[in-house]
Amino acid sequence: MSLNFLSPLYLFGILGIVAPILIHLLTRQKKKYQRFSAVYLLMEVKNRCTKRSTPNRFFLLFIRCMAIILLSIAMSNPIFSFNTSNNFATNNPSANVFIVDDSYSMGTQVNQETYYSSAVKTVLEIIQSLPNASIYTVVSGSSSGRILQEWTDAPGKIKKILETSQPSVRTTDIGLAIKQALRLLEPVSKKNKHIYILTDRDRNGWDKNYPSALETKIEHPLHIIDFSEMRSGVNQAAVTRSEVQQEFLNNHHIVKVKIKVANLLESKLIKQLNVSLWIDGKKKIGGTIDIDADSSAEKELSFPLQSNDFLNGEIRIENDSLITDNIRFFSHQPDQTIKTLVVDGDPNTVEHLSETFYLERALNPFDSSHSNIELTFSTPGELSRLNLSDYSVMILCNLQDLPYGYEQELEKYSLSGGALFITLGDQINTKFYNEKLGGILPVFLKAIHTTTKNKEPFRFLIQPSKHPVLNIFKGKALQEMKSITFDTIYSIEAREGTNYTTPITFKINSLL
Amino acid sequence: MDKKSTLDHNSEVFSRIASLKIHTTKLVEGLLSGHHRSQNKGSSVEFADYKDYSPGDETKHIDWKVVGKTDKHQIKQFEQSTNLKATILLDASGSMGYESTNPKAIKKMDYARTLVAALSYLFLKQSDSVGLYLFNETITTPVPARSKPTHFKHILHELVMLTPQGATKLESVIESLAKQLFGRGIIVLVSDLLTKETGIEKKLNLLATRGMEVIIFHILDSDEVSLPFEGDIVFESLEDDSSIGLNPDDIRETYQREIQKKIKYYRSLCSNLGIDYIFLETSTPLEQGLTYYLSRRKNPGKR
Repeated sequence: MSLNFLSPLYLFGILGIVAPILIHLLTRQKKKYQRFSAVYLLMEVKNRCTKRSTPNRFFLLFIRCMAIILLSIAMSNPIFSFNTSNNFATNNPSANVFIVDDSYSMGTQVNQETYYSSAVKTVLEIIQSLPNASIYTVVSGSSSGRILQEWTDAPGKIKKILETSQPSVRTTDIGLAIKQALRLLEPVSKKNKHIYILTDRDRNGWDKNYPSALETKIEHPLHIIDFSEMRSGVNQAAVTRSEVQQEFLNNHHIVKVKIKVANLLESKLIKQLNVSLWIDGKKKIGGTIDIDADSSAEKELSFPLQSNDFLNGEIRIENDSLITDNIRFFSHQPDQTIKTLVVDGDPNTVEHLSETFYLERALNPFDSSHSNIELTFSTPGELSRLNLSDYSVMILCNLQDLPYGYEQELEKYSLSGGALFITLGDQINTKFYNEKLGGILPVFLKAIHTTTKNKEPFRFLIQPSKHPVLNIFKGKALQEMKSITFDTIYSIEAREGTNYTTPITFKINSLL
Repeated sequence: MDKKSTLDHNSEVFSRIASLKIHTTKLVEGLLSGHHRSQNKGSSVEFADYKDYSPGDETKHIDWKVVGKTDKHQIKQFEQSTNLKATILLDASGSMGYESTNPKAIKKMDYARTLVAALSYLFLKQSDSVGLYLFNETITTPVPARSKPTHFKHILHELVMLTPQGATKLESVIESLAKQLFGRGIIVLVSDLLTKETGIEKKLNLLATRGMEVIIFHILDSDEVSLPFEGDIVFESLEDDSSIGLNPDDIRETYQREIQKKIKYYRSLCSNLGIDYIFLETSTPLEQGLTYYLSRRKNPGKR
């Protein structure tokens, strides 16, 4: 018979017998003496009486000490091996197959140590106690049933393989592993053959008869070491999904991570479960989530993109007994494109006659792969089918008007941070713009002014300006703007109570 | 409280008891005119002395001539009217020295002393002679019987000087006493009867069959009856037994049964032998016990 302990640290609890000993010594009562007349009678009566009102103090001390000792031994999870073909009593070398369950559930943690790491330690301890010239092999207990280490008599190899291994995300398949073990043992010449199974038994779905059914088929001694008895906690929740989206609505690109967390408890609601989002090892944002029993809940965490660098992120929830399902990793390459919606107010079948032809060429002068601007073209009629929040920029090109009520969508878009450009043209319905777009446009469109062939066309008045838009146009670009001519312009009038800035004006004396 | 003051304290007891007479059930020879019927009829009596009349005395003995002269009621005392000889045996062994755990309770020895003094006074008051024998293993202090009133002081003195010690050897004491005492009389045994001896019955029978009237006052302290102690205790004997350590809770019930059995045994034994047996616990007021006993003696049919 051999005895090992899965949690040997608990054996230090035996030192707790100091407490009852101290209590025994400190509560010793000073002997009381009483002079009495009928002592002979007391003796006669005592000899006839067997009743004792209080148990002997030494007996009580013994019981208390034994209780502490036995409790410490029990908590240290002793493993007894009663095999008749005693591997250790003799010096005969043996052949040993270790089936180490590396399924997902073996990642359950107890006292900072997972089942798996405890199993690895146990394997190494058992190997140390084997007779010289014994050989061993290690088989995975999860669904692959693969051989982690072929037959060897070098404990160092086993140690190296096991200490660098981790539980997988696969399920348990001990049956397959046992078959593999039997196959491995068959050609071995040694007489002493053993199979060790190190697993968390209650997660394997074994019924009561399974082990005995196994043993009747297996000729060799089968040692099952069950780590599920170590469990002191419950796997409460798990992060089951994460989805990363990038918002393009405004200039501060937002990354949204939508997560789904499952409550694994059958009948207990989880309240205020801490959830946090980490990017590159640093916590970005956190929150809490409530999840009904045996169901899932979703939560969205978002943060602004600081740069266009690749993101490595994690979603973490509060730790429980199984840590591995409390973390979900994600990665995201920020989308640097500027999604732009261009609405053509005067589409034409002849491409170059469309309002947006030149605009397109201007925004994507080269191949689209070189441009950060992703253009989407639409007509006014198609607007209602589009989600404006997918676009950072919207350009309305010579729109006569908008679909009924759409001005509110536009206003919402603008207030949400969307950049709105409106180019005027011959299709413009001045009344519509003045009456319906008052919430967006700070000016009234007053009158159209057209120049003729004989007259000087309208040009920009290039003046030094601190408007940020003009920061783009510098030097030669600014000078080239002077050469742009317009034959029709609108005069405008500021709406009362509005505050706006004008980056550039036209050089027409009568209209300034 | 010292012993003398205990007796002084009981003077009220004496005065109450003094109103009652002790009447013997057995015939006393001698003098019909005596207070006690003597078995020896026809014996002459000689005038001895006068004594003051006290309630209960026979009025026929009042000397009216003296009354006429002195206006005081005097009774003639005759020699043979004092033929009742009372011998009081007081147990002075170590067990009688038990002191109760209750500091307010009277000590057993004090109780016994008071009882003996009361009885002595009563006997002397009735012009009976009283002797006192203190004993443990043997008779330690014999005080021969006298009838003079002044003898009371002698008795009191011995009572006061008494220190309980030694073992109880009742059988040999009774046997020894039986050899010394002659004639009819009263033997009063005052003891706790805590002895391992088993032949007391025979010795008491010896006394009873010699024509003596025997009265036993069995005195025990309340602690000795109920064993009220708690916790682990080492009991040390007041006599020559070895100590014993035990928890009284374990044996209390059996012990109490045993004590009651002993009391019942002595009561039954005495009844069979025609001996008056009075059990007195020290918590019982002494006057109550004595009054009860003396009432019984006055009405022997009610025994």
